[in-house]
Amino acid sequence: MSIRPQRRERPKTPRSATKVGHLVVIPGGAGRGSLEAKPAEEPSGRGPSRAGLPRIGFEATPAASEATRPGLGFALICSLVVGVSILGLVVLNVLVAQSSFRLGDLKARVEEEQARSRRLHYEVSAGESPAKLAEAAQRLGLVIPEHQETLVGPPDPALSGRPSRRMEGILKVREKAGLPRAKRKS
Amino acid sequence: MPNTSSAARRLVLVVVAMAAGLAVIAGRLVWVQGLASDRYVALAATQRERRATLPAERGSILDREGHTLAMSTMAHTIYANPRFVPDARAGAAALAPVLGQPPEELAGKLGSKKRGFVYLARKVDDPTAARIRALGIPGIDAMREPKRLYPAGQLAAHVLGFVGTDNAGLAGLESYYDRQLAGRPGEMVIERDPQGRSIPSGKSRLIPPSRGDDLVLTIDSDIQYAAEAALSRAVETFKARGGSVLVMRPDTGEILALANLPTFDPNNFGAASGADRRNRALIEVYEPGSANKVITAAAALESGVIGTSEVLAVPDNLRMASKTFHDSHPHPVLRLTFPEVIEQSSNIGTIKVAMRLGKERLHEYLARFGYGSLTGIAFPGESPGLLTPPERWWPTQLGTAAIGQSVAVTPIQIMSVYATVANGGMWVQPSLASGVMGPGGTIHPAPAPSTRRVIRPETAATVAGMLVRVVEGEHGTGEKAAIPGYQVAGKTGTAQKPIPGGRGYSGYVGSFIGFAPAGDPKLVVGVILDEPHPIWGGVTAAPTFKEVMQFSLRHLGIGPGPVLRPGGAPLPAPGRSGGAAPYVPGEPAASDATE
Repeated sequence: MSIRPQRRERPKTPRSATKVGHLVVIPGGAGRGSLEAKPAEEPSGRGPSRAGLPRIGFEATPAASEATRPGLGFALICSLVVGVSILGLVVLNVLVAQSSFRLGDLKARVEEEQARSRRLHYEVSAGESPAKLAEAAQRLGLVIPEHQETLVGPPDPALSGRPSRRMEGILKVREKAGLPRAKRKS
Repeated sequence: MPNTSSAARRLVLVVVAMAAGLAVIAGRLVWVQGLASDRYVALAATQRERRATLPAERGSILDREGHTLAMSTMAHTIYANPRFVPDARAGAAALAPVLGQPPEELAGKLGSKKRGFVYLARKVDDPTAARIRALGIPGIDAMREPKRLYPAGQLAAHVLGFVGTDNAGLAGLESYYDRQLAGRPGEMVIERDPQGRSIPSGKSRLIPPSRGDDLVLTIDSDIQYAAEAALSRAVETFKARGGSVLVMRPDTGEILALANLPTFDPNNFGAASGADRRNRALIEVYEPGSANKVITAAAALESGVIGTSEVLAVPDNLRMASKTFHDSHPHPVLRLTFPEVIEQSSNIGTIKVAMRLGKERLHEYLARFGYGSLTGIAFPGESPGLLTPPERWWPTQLGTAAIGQSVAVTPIQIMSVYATVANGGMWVQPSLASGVMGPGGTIHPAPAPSTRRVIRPETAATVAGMLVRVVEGEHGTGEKAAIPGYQVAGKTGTAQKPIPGGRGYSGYVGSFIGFAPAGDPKLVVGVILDEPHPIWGGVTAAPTFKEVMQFSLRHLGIGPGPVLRPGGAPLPAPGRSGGAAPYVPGEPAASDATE
């Protein structure tokens, strides 16, 4: 003897009924409203008969606004926050990258300018070397005097000139170290 | 039922296989993320991180007035990654005219595909690097490297020395002060993408390099130039093989100029021979000849074996052991005081005085004046000269040493001798550097020079007076060193050159070393010419001395100063000590009579 499962009869839904979510909306339902509803899934057999179904009354109200759906609003806010944050991060990252490249460019430029400064320093140093000065002086017709006259007298500070600030520092330290001051050019 | 169990088995197998696979993945995950994470982190870091050493800028070398003699700048080094060079021959052909190298050589470098890096040219200038970049050859690029430059070219080349390709000092003061000049290199760590671009938000660490200290010399550029120019003219005029000129302050030991010929350009030191690059004033020795008589004179006067008024009988030759000494020219027996002996630079008169002194005492004074030992000047490779101990002297060496043969000194040593006399008998260690200047201009002075008393001030003054006679005396050998308006003291030298590695002599060295103003010496100048024509120091070196001394006095604003009595203050012999024979002033000594 085999046991056969009993066929469960599918509850019949009125033709005019409409499914809304898990509810079936029956037009012309009781109540002050216009809707009559019953659970969409109804256990067959043992469930209450259609006639004995308690009628649930729904009051027809205006369609619910977005704001009145708390879940949707929260989701929207979260999306907005996340979206803005991501956008902000992207913008920040781009700005950082941009600044980094600009910094790199500026560093390269600083290096170039420093190298240029050194080249100019070299050219100045080469130009003021005694050999170059002698060459320039000869071009201008200057000659080294064959005879010299020396005026001996008290030193005149107005004629002595002042050493550069840098050499003044060097000379001061030399004096502190007990080394004699080099005489300035007359 | 069989179908069900088969399906269940397959299900179990699949589950087991999946579990095993997951276990493997989980295990690998634990290994990668946990147990071996450090290794993988490091591996990843090596792929992204680029570590670059940032070379420190080498400090400059300045003269005493702050003029730059050596400095560093940045140059471009051209390199290639041959693996990325599509056509080595075409690339070489394009690069060759710009770099000035043979195309075959460049093609060989660019064609070596096994190498990922090869230098094409080191430290080229900006325009050359720009032209290379403009060629746009794949695999060819340029990077910055520091380069040492000497703005004044050959000026003081032997003092400065030079640096190698890696910017380390190889010679001269560049080598001696390498530690102070070099600075401390820095380091940069950055993250780069596979294309070599830096990752903006990646790791970045920078340890900046520390610039080296500047070195301040005692050298005066103008005097140095005058010395080099005068030496060059002298070598050309007298067809000498080379020479040296030194200018020194006797009271401080500061060297204001040190010139050598042949010379070289430190910007291109590779073009010069090793001999040309050698600082012969500090490294090479020569026999000073008559310039050495100043030591014999100082030793004799200091020891009291002779006074300034005593008269010696001076023939033109003298036999000593197996050797016969001669004066520079034949003459009858002369009756000369000791100052006159020095004035006329008589070999025989000097040897006779040295015989009274004895070899031990002469050796002692030679050593006290610094012969046979280093002056201690801060310079690499200084030579101590040659001075053998008296017990190893051969029988004639007393005579030869007294007149400056058989002893060998560096030019700086003989300069120190004259500086000692000029400085009242006090020897002062010579120096080339006055200090190092750190960041912000803080100067750390060089250690004070060591000093020692060699002879008494009175003896030094007397010797100085005798040296004045050499220049001003009627029979003086150094008349061409006289400077109008100034009193000059000095001594000529014409010394035979020993044959290297053999016995005997070949050629002469002419020299003049002196100081001025004689009454208050401010400068000592030495001129040494190698094989001049004519050979005489009084003819060749003395005019050069005059030229350099005159310029230096004018440049430094040194006036004529007080006048010293020619011949020096009378210095009677206070009483002889030692084994010298008794001597009666005005009469030939017993030893003289037998000679």
